[in-house]
Amino acid sequence: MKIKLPKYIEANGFECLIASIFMVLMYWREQLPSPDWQLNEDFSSVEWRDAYSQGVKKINPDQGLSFNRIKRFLRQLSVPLNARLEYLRDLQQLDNLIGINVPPIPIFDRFFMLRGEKKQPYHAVVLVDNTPETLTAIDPFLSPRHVITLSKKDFKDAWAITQRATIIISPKTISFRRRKLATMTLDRWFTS
Amino acid sequence: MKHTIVVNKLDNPYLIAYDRILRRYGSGCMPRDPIDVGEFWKVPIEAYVPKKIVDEKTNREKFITFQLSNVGDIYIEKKSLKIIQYPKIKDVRNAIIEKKAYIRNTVELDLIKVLGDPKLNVKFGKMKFALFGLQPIYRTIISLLDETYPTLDDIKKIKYSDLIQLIIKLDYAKVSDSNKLVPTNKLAELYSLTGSSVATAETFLGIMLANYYEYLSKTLRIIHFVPYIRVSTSYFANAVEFGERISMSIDVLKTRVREYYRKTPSYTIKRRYGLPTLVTELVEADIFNYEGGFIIGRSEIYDRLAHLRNNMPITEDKYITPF
Repeated sequence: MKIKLPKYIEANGFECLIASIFMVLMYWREQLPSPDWQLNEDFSSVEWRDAYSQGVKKINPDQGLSFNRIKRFLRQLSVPLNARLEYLRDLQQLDNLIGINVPPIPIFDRFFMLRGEKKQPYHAVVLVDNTPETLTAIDPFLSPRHVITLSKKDFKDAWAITQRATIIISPKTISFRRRKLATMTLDRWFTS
Repeated sequence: MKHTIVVNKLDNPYLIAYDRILRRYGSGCMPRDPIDVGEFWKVPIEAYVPKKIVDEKTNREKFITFQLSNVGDIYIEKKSLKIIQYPKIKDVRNAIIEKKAYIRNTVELDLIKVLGDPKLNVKFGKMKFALFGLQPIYRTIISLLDETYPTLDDIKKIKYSDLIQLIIKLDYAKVSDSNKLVPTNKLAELYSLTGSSVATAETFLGIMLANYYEYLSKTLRIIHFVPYIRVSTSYFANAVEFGERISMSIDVLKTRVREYYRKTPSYTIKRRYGLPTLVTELVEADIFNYEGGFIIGRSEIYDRLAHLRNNMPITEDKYITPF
């Protein structure tokens, strides 16, 4: 695996997103030793457990977790990281992120990928590796193994359902230039 | 270090609405297809609320999702593609609560109607605290069956009038020419079905609740029976959502009651909530049974409520583990 997450977290319901975020936080905690971190290096410590349960409490049982809430929560934890919600253009962007060791958290229709039926609420995983045909993900729902290999072909359609929404958590030292492209060509727009 | 990521422009109403929803309202909400309303796009919001239900005896679990449509609308100006109107987070939350309350009330009212059916012979008298608030009805029915007919003036003096009017409305008693409250044939029929004054009075309490639950609890503020109804509804609603009778421990039932009645008026009675006592009384009343240390609902009651599942906006996830 290109990206090695130090700890896997089990979750269900709406918790997949916060579990994925915490796995990425732990990854950056390990990769980025900095005095700015308020959370210690021991991932099984009470500190992390408390932080995680605080995160779970941020989830509204009826509405799930909004990105603004996630950002506020990360600020509250004083992590030296940036979080962004992006609608990525294509799978290549995920490959690029994995290539620079930034584990992306894509939101996708898991049910569609496995069954071919669209179904909310959507799912979040952490991507940790890739090949030209596959992506390796750490899935909080798949305890105890957690590791799952997703075919890019199937994942592409399931991810397109959520407009390829992806949460990117990265250190402040990594900055991104966003190249925005129209979702439709002019020809398609006129005919739609 | 600077890296380039290629992203989609927020240039169509669906994506604009989705972005707003994901950022502000939560990952459980989704936009529906935009509707053309003249100079604007109207994008309705839907909420998807997942729920896990477990049959504790067999350890079987089911994941269901409530699909609650139209919990708010986002308006986007066509010319500028800017959001010009959107619901407050609080409004979306309230709309979801309202939709859930509607489902809950449907189950609650149907359950009360089922419980009130004399054929089921639910022993309302065993619910001691509920009986407390409905004493005037209980006593009046017993005295009518014992051929002691009170005058309307007597009833007024002891402030039973509101409740007695309900007995009259249900046609189980009437006012005679001599201004006395007397039983009707309907009460006699009920007596012949149950065989004793006490059993008739208890069965009548069920009929009363089935017909006037809302009026009694909300208008007359007789709320003593509300905890019993809430506990029963929470169990049976979960069973109906699961698709069969499930076994539940008291602790889980307690959590379910709290979840199910979240954001509802609590009634002062909640402070006195002793769930084990309530459950014991519900078992004695023949609404629940105990089986191997777990609570399980009475099958006749469940069978009459099972059809409600077809009208619930739920989908079931057969929990899929691909490998």
